[in-house]
Amino acid sequence: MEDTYIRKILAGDPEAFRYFLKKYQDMAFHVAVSIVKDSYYAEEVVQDAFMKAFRGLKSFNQKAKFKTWFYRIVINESFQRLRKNKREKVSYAPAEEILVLERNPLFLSEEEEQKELIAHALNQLAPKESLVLGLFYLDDYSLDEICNITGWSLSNTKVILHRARKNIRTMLGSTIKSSNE
Amino acid sequence: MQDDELKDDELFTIMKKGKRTMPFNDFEDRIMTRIYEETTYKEVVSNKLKLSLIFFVIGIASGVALTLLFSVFGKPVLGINPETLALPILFVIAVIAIMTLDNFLRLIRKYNH
Repeated sequence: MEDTYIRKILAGDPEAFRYFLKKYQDMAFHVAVSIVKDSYYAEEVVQDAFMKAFRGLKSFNQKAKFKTWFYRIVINESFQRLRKNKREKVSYAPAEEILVLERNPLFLSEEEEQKELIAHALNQLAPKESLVLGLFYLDDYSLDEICNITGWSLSNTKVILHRARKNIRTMLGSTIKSSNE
Repeated sequence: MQDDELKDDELFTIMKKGKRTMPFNDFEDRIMTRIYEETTYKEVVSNKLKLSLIFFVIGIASGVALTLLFSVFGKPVLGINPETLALPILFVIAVIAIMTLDNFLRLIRKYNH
């Protein structure tokens, strides 16, 4: 299916790229925001990643999975942005904090409140930890596939995943209990 | 430690709840606009490059022809024989042609869609 769209784009039909935008924008955004921790930066990262993917389609090996190739671009772009922000000492945390506090918990349903808490906890995790959780649980990637996408060693990936699980459990102890009830 | 051992349902539920989606509704259209703009720009640049390459080749060919004509029919300049003068001129034209062609090819490759 994806091969057909790639062939169309390479034959000069840019409209076919909309298929990839529709399919991957949400997950790419989740990956980017879990690394850069800010919605606006994440949106910029995803934009740049899609543009890079569009320009680089000619060099894409069609035997490989588009999804894996594209995620590698998103992850690289996100870490580049993170390094750039650190160099320029850009602070992103306050904006997210304000966003969370602006929503009055009194007006949130229990489910919405849980979502807020989870999003907040994921935001507190280290970029690599929230990234690995997303790839492992939401995208259903195996550890080997995560290594392939991120370029980390298997032992390093296992350590990061273990630490991520432990940290998110600590942060969301009560939420986990209530979601089980 | 197997992958399945790590995948417990609790965290799966939590991650599903915490999944972030693109909050900007016009994202798709903005990207498509950028793509169309870039494609059009590349087409325009590519066409102009091809045109300038044609004129460059015409210019070089005319330069070589005029130099050769000058060497055959020209009069001595500052006492130097036109045949002797033509050689360094042709050499300079060749160097400029090679350097510029290299730049042209690189640009055409860059903007070729």
